[in-house]
Amino acid sequence: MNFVLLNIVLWPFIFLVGVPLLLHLFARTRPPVYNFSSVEFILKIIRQTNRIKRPQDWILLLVRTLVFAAVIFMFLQPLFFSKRRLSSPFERKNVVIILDATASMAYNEGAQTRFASACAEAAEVLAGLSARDTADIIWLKSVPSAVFPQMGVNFSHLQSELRRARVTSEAGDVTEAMRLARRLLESMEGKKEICIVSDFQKTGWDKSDLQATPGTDLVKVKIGRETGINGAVTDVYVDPARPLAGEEVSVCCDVYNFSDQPRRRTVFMSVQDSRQSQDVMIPAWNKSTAVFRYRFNSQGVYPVRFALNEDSFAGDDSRWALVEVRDSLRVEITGADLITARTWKKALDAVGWAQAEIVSTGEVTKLPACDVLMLAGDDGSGLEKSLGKLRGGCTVVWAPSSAGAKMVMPGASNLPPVQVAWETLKTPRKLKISAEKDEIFRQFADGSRGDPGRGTFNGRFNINASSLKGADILLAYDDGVPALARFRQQGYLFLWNLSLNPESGDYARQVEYVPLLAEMLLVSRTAASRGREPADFLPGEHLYMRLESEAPSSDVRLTGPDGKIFPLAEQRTGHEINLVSEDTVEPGLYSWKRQERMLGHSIVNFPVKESDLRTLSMQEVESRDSVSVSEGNTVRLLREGVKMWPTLLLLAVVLLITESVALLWFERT
Amino acid sequence: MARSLFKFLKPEDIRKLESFEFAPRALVEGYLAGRHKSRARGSSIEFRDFRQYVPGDDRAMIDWRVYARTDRYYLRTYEQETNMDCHVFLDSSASMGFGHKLTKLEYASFFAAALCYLVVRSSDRVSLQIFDENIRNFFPPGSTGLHLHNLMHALESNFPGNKTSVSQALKKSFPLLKRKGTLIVVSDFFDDPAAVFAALSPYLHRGMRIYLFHVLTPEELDLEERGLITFLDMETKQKVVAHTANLRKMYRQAIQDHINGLRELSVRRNIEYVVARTDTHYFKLFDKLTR
Repeated sequence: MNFVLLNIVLWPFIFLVGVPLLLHLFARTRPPVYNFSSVEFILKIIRQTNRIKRPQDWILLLVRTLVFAAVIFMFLQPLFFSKRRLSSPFERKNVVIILDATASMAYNEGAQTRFASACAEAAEVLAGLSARDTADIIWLKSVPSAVFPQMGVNFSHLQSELRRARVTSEAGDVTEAMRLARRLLESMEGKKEICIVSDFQKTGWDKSDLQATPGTDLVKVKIGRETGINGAVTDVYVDPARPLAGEEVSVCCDVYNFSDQPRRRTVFMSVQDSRQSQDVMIPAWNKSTAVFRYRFNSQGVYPVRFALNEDSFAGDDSRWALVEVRDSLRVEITGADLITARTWKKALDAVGWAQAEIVSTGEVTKLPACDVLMLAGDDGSGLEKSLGKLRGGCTVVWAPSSAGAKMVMPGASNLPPVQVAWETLKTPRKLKISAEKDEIFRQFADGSRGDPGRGTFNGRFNINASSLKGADILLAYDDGVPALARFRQQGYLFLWNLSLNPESGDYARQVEYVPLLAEMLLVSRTAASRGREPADFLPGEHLYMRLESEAPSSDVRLTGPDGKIFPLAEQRTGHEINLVSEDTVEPGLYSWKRQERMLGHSIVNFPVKESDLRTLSMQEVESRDSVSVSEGNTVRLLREGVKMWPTLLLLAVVLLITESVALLWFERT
Repeated sequence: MARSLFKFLKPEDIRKLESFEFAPRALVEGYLAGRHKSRARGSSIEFRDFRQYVPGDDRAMIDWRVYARTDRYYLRTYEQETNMDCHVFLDSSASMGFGHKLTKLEYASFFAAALCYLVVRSSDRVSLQIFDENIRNFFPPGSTGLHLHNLMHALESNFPGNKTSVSQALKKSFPLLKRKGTLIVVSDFFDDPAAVFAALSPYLHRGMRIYLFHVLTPEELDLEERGLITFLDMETKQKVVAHTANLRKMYRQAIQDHINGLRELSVRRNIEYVVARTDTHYFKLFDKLTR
């Protein structure tokens, strides 16, 4: 809290505040003398009344002194700055307004959206600037942008930009916006100020680093006082993730309830010409999953749209997903153990839905993209190199080399590799199922498909079960040595310790071998990554598509959800041609077409973190180096100050009335 | 108009006083046969009572007719008329010098002079005592013209003295008074009422009729508005700074309480108490004294 006196010239007259005190003192010391017969009664009265009169005198003196002080300060024309003074009235100011245009600002609070309120507050901040000041506005979105490339004085243009502005469906990059603001201000002279006008959404601002450079004031104007109630489709996925044509799959949709009350929502799924709906009950601040069963009859890429019955924040009520349906799984088999490789291929060729191929031993990383990678007779180096594919959602089946191998533990890079050594058994060993409830053995549960643990083994890899950290032991030898183990990562890793060599056992001749291998690969699709696919984009990004042929790109069109055709730019890198949309995109399904032939789809989904409309409290927004207010008008007052003279005049009048009333009251009492 | 011989006894006042007669409502104890009734049974013709004879009585006073009827000796007693002593106590302390047009002392002196004249004219004796905290001047009772002349001179040469102590003065002067009579105290009574009346008790026991004339100016009764002022006590020279507006109401109440206190004590002891405002003529005070 501080003051600035505009009429500082009158400061020497401040001593007039002491006039009532001087009058009080001098008037009492030299009154005229009155010879009186006896002062006995007067003394008695004074003794009686001093207890009351003296405080009354002090009160009157105080009131009169305050009257003088109020009048003198009124002429000094003080400006009052609460909290913290942003600048003096005589100083040039450079103000950068970072205006939050992210998706959460579209939430309707009362009569208008948060964004409209933010624009009004920003306009209020601009209105408080004088002609010698400079200003600029940075729109906070996925790629923050400034209205002027440099600080400008054309405030009317900024005001008109504020009137024309529209909220986006994007998430915001706060760090980039702050960097841009600092760059705009770095060469400016005078007082520097960054004013952030935002709802300070928790998910977007909780961990934001808002360090202004020294000498720059940071002002935060908080918009939005409500905890926004919202429901949103936050995720869409298919189980299994790589469906096959004709296979009935689960198309799942996560629906989140961002409120403190359980809510019932209706979820609609649209795929091809089919439309289904389902009611879900969602607990408070939690999610529910709506599961729809659907069968894709032929291969292709299918756009699936999920939607909720609309609420007050409609942007996140729908979501798209692209489901790629294949005729078969691509399986690549490699390794030094050709017997095992051929036995695997033979089995997979029999199931029909797998397109298995034995490739020569080489660099695993150079293998083409596949769904399943099977390493037969690997010494551990191939497994180590295939961890990248594992993280990408690929299923890896690893059979160690009989010459010895080192197995790295996926997901536990700090653990040393486990040494795996071949062991010729003197006594043949049998298998037992260690995890009967596992999904792999579901088809064998009724016994109609035989016993997947049937078989006799003369040789195996001697592996200590306790050394396989984090693995599920599916099959084991009768002495407890793991025969088939599974590691769950983004993709599945299977340790295959079942010798398919006829000299070491008869497992390849068992009828259960093929169904077990097939189930193993089919079930492993579930764990496929739900990460961002190449065709997934976020609002505010530029869509792009890689053209695989040298065909001309001029006849490729990008059509938006409302039929709008987006202009495209061509980017060539070597032999690759990328087509990039020149404009940023909003949520929806976009189609790439060459003439009338569909080349593919791109989907743009609402950013999930913008769905939670809870905002930081004023205390959380407040920080040591910043001023936080709830209205832009307050910022204006912080900068201009509040003129105190009307208040002081009123105060003087009130004090005079108080003095008169006090005098009357004292006289009566 | 005749030339005034005395300051406090002017010829026109003397003429007015012709119609007054000094007659206190009390029996007096005198040694000369006079106009005043006395407790002493004397030789006047007004019968009072019978009394049984005791040895030593004058046998000439025996009523032989009663003896003839009752065979017992009874004496006839008569009312005895005698002259009266009037003792005037005049307060001449410094506070009596207060007053704008007429000081309290001047007012009291006018009254005392007229009173002395009336008493002497009635062939009664008058004494005058001028006091402050001590007895400054005492004139024993007398009824001659020369005595009156001396009293007038004493009054004229009088001036406001030191502090008031009515009670002390009354105590000191009691031995000076040989006979009972009428005691008239003229003062502003700036003294403790209880002490004053304690000092008057011996006089009452002697059977004296007492009149208290409380002389006050209008300014003392109703403190005039003078704003912020330094009050200088005329007796103690003590200074008090106060605003009259703040004091006025309470002062009036205080002085009225003081008067009421004196009046109440006077009523209890059968003493006449009169407030003498200096803005009223002192002749009105004789209404209390004359019948």
